[in-house]
Amino acid sequence: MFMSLFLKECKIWCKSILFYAYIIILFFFYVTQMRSESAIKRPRPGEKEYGITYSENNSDIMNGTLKVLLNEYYNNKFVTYPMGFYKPVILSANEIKQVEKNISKLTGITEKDWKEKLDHYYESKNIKWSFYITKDIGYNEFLSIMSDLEKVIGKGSKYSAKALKGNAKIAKTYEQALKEYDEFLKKDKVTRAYARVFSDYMGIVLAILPAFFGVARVLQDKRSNASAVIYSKKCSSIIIVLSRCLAIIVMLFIPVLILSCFSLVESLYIAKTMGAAPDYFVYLKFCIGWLLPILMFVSMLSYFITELTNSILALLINSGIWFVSVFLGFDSPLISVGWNLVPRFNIIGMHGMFQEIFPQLVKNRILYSILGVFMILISILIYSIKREGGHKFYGKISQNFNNQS
Amino acid sequence: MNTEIVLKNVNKFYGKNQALKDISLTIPNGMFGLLGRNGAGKTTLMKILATLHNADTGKVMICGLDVEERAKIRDKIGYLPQDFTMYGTMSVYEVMDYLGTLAGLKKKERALRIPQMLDKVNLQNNYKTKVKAMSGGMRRRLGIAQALLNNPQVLIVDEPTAGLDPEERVRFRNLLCEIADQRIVILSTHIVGDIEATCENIAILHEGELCFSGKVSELLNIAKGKIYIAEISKLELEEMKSKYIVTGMLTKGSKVEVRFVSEDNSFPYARSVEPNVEDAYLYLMNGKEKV
Amino acid sequence: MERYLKISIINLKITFLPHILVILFMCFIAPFIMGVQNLQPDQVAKIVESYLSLFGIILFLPVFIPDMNNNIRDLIASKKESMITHHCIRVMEALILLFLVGMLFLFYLKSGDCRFLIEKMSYSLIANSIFLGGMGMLVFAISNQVAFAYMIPITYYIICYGSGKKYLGNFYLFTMQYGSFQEKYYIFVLGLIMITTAIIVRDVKFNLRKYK
Repeated sequence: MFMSLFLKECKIWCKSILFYAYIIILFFFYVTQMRSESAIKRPRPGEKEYGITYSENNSDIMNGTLKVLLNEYYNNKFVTYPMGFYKPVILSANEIKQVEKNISKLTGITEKDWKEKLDHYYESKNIKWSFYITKDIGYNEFLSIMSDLEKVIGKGSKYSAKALKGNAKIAKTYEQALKEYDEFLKKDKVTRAYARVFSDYMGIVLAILPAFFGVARVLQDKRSNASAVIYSKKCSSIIIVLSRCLAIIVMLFIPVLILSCFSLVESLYIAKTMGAAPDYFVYLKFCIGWLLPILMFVSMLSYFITELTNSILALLINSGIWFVSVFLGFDSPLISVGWNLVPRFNIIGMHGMFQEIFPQLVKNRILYSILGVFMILISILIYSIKREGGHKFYGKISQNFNNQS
Repeated sequence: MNTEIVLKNVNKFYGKNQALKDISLTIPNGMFGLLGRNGAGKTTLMKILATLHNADTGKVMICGLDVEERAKIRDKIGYLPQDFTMYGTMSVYEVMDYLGTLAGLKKKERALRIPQMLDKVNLQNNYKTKVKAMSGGMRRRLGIAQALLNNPQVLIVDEPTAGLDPEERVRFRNLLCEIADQRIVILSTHIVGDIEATCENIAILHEGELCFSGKVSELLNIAKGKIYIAEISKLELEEMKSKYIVTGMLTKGSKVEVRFVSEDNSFPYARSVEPNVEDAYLYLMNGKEKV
Repeated sequence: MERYLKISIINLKITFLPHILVILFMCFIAPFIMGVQNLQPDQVAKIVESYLSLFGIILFLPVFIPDMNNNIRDLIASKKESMITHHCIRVMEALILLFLVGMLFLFYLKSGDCRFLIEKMSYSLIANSIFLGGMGMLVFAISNQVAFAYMIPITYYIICYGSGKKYLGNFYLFTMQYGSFQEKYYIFVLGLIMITTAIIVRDVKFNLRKYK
């Protein structure tokens, strides 16, 4: 019974304009975003520059941060991204004093001295930068000063623990560039680097589009007055809800897999021309491990909320979640994982970085998969309560939202 | 095998509103009519029988099974709600196939039963018609076909004739009678004519209370000798209406032939007639109102 | 006149109330998630274009929703006022609400020493909102599906965030952030066209159905 019902649910989507719009949007995103990514070229010795990288060295981080700090201090404009949105902070005289104290601590020079030096630097243009962290300050003390600064300036500033690394921009050396190229070829086997970026882009759209399907499926019953007939049938609530949810997940996942094949073929071609041994299954692994949890969580959350409220409230909540998860990673927009629904890795290469975030990525993905499954379970519960006339508790919730849809 | 529905002291509340008040009722095989005004509690009662609502107190047994055993009950019943429709983009056959699957029928059974049922309701030429393109009558027939798919022992039909044209209505009633041959068919309506033409047993609900249950002939007996016809002038009509329950009027030139209920024949020139169901129903309702 | 006022008030309560609450909530949380003081014109433009524009989707989409059910439509259509009157009243209401809330927000920004031309910003806000909202209305009028009607404008918005600038030309939503105002005229006009078409499609389609 389950299989037959599942196939019928899939067929419902095959006839839905929503589904075709989804495919077109996905394809459009793929074409416009993915096609523009170019491969890493083999570096040659003696080139002018090899691009920039972020240093892992504590002293680079400290000195880089000092430079950012003095610059922001001079303009009295401190850039923050508290929720992903740009928020410049302008400090009051009192707060400025606190920052000045910290600068003195960091540089080990008196306030008068470094102020003069700084003015001099900005007024005449051809002076070399000559501010460095004093040797008396270790990395731990530096971190505690930074957290003091963050208290003054506010959340999401360039002095938050997460953002510090981003201040340490340095030029890549030839050796570094060569190492990265080697990793790209041998460890990432070219294909993996592309699969990561593919997942990164697709994650952005998959964090919102499936929400419309959860809402549409549940409201379809309400709109066509079909609930009562379906309720009265023998079939158990578990089978009904499970077949619906799985149909949504499977039908939405198939186009992702097909697109990943396009991308795979392209990256295979690049790998071949570069002489790398490709990883044929890497896209499949990334789709299942990285993208499927997003798709599941988003579609099932909206399914659950719609089943609970019989309204389009889910669209609002899901849009909010999308907004927050896509813009939250703003303080280092290229790579961020944490517990974010949409992990970002918008860069070809950087094998070492990926190794570093991988354990967190796994934990993160497991969390969202579990949440997705949990949403299915409570949707089943709510459906069976509704079906057995649990209107006393339920009627109130749905009535409150009914005028919205 | 037990083929009765038994309700014992059933109560149902919506918040402070009591929708059903202490209903005790036995429904035997055959057509059973549930009559009452809009909002009398018919739909609530039907939904309880269809396992979609819970009774707050009391006991409901369907064919020997407690109504709490939902899965088993749902296998034995067919339900057609008041305004049945399905997803607009589905065709007639797809609707049947989908709902048949939900009713637990195997693929082979569906392939066999669906054409039979569609034949029965005269939709054999509409397999591919989309639900959104169907008329109200066609939808109603499709509704019956789907409710019969699992060959239920109990068919529950809520207000089946509302919104149908007279021809459709007659056809639909006849269809229900045919079906009721080997099973219980419960039909709720506020249209007395439906019941009169089809049902042997009826129950009347009024504001959640059961005010009559029995055979149609028994209902008629209650009103026997209390229905009169008199020819009056139009001027007397208003006065007549204020004194008696007028169940029918026929204008004849400047005169009106009035059919009315009266406990004793106090009206001059009136002659007694045999009551019909409508008269009896109105008589009963009026009695309730005065209490 | 009294009749129109009555219809408007009822609409306000039945159609718009939850949506008004949503946009007020969005205004309320704005200062916590973004800078609202001492902003330069391009930063104000970012708020207007990428945050306040969403009000269009929230306010214009509900215009058709109360009569989504055919029975309700039949009932309302049978009354003296035609459906078109109802829809036009609702569009006007959405527009007024948008303008009121938008202006309040812009004045709030002004009071926080942000530098910008209020006429330009309010025009941008209305142009963008009408464009996104009109797109949703049109999709709804054609498909009669709520989820689909929300999906298209939201996706358009997301595409603008992605690589839309390259492909969308004059219909790119976030031009003011890059200092270009010209495109707003196109967006405004197309938005109006979409709303008008939506109402025509909706009501003409409905009338045809009546005579079928």
